[in-house]
Amino acid sequence: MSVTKPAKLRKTMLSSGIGFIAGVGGVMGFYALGGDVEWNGGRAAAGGVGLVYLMTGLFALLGAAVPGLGARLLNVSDIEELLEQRALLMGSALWFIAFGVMLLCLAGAGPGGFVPDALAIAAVAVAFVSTVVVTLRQWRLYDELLRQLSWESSAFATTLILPVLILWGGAVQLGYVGSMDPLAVIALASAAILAGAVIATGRRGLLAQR
Amino acid sequence: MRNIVRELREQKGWSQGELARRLGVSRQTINAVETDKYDPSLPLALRMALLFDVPVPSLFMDDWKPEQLK
Repeated sequence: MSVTKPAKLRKTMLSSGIGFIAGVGGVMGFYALGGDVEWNGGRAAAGGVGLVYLMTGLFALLGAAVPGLGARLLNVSDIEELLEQRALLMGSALWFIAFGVMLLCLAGAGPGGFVPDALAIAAVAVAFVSTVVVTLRQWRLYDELLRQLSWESSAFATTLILPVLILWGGAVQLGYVGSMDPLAVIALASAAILAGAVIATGRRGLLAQR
Repeated sequence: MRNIVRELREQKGWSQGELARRLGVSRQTINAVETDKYDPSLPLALRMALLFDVPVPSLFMDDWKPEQLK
C-alpha cells in the first residue's frame, strides 16, 4: 500500500515533533537529576548519547507495543508491516533502552556523581547480557537485507571510530594533549555505532519515509 | 541495477507481503529490491526467477557490456 505525500509529511512531522519534545524533556530531566554534578566533556557526551539511545528505544518500544500508533510514528508502510516486524522491533527497542540506561548511569556515576557505582555496574552488566542475547536472537530473525545492513553499519562505525581513536590516542601518547577521558571514548564509540547505522540505511535510501 | 520485479509481481496479482512470504524475506526487502535500493543475493535472485518463471537476466538488467577483446 502506498502512502500519499501529505500523509508522509504528516508522519515525518509527527514523529519529529514527538522526538524533539521527548529529547528536550529528557535532557532537562537528566540534568535536573544531576543537581550539582559538574558536567564535564565526558559526562555530558555520555549523557547526551545515552539519551539518544534511550529515547530511540522508548520510541520503538511504544511503536511495537501499540501497533496502531507505531504505524503512524515509525518508518513502516502500514500496520501489517509493523506487526510482521514486531519481534525484531521489540528486541532492538529493549537493547537500545539497556544501552541508553548504561550510558546514562555511567555518565552520572563516579567521583562526585549522583548515580551509585553499584547501579552503574549493574547497568553495564545488563547492557552486556542484552547485547549478546539480542544480537543472537536478531541475527536468526534477520533476512538478507537486514544482515547486509548490519555488516555495513559495523563497517561504517569502525571506519568512523578508528581514525579518531588512533589520532586522539597518538596525540595523548606523544604528549600533545592530556589523557583520554574514558567516558568520552565510550560516548564516541557509542555514537559511532549509531552514526554507522544511520549512514548504512541512509545511503540505501531506506531512511525516506514510507 | 534495474529490475522488473514489481511488474511481474503485479501481473501475478500479489502484494509485496505475499511475494515476501513466498520468498521467505521481509516486505521491506521486496520494497527495497523493487525500488532499486538493494540488489538481492544470487540465491534470492534465483528464487525470484524461479517463482516468476523467467531467467535471471530478464528479471535484473545491468548496462555493463564486456570489453571488446582485440
